[in-house]
Amino acid sequence: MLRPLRNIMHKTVEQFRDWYFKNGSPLRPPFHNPVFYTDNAMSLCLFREGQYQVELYITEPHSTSPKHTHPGVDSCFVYLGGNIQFNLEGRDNPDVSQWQTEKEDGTHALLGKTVSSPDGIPHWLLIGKEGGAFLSFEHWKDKDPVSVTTNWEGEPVGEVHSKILEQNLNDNISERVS
Amino acid sequence: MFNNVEQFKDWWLKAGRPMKPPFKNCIHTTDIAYAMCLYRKDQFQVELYICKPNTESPIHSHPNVNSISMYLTGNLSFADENGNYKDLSAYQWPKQNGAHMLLGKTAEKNDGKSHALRTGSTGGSFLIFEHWLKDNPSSVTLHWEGDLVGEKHAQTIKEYHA
Repeated sequence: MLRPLRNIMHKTVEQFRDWYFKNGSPLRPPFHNPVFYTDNAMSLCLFREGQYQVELYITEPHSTSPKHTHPGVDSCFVYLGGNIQFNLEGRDNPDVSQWQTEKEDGTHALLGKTVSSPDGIPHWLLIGKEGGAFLSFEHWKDKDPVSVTTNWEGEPVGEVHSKILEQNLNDNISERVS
Repeated sequence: MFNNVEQFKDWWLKAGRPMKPPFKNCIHTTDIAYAMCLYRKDQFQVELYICKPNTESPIHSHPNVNSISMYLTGNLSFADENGNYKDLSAYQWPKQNGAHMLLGKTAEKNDGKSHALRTGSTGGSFLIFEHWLKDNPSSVTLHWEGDLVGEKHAQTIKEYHA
């Protein structure tokens, strides 16, 4: 049985990730704001409780996400499939093309590997010809979780993303005014 | 082993929803939806679809694939071969735990018959459990009989067969 998350103390987003997997990867997308899309990706929030959530991202082949941050959010990304290069500013960013291999059980050699992305560290993605999929575990420290697609500082992915960010900004202003 | 798609669905849900996407061809995109295969075993697999808001697929079928679609969230509805959609507007509410009322409900059981799908203003997401009776499993996005969703869908199919 799934233990309520609010009774479990998580100090880090990595602890939340471990809790999620230990509890059988619960699929409980929220009713409100579950799906977002940009020019090159779609996301679904798989589970949200309190200040924590996990989003599934599926990305287009041959695409990129420019350098950006998600203010107030600690993240860690877990590889699922495809060909994704995560890069963090100031860190070693090994070329993952060396691990584009299949394991004996038919899965990707990188399945389950984590890239931690602490709040404030700019990061960017390069996606190869297979597209890519990953889980984004998130700890929203000072606001209610929505999606890191909208909580974005930096150059947008493209026109669709720009419109979403603009809409989000307008919604936030309206909320503050009312 | 599984005798049918129901057994596979029950096993996957009880087994802790294992996420083990296949290395090859696990991601497919169309004009209105992105899909990934979460788990594949022999002739069985489960795909997760994320659908854009306010979209509709033409009536189509997936020959020789028995499937069960399960709601996850959002505002989506399936139609039968005549294009008749179920009215699910009465179920567009959150449960006390914040999830969608329809989470985990079976949206459709299908043995290769024609159907269609449309989404409302929030988009939506569902799982589709599949038993491929003849071909090796790839994706129902690729194994499609009927009008395509759009140009991107056509391109995805073309690239897969190239």
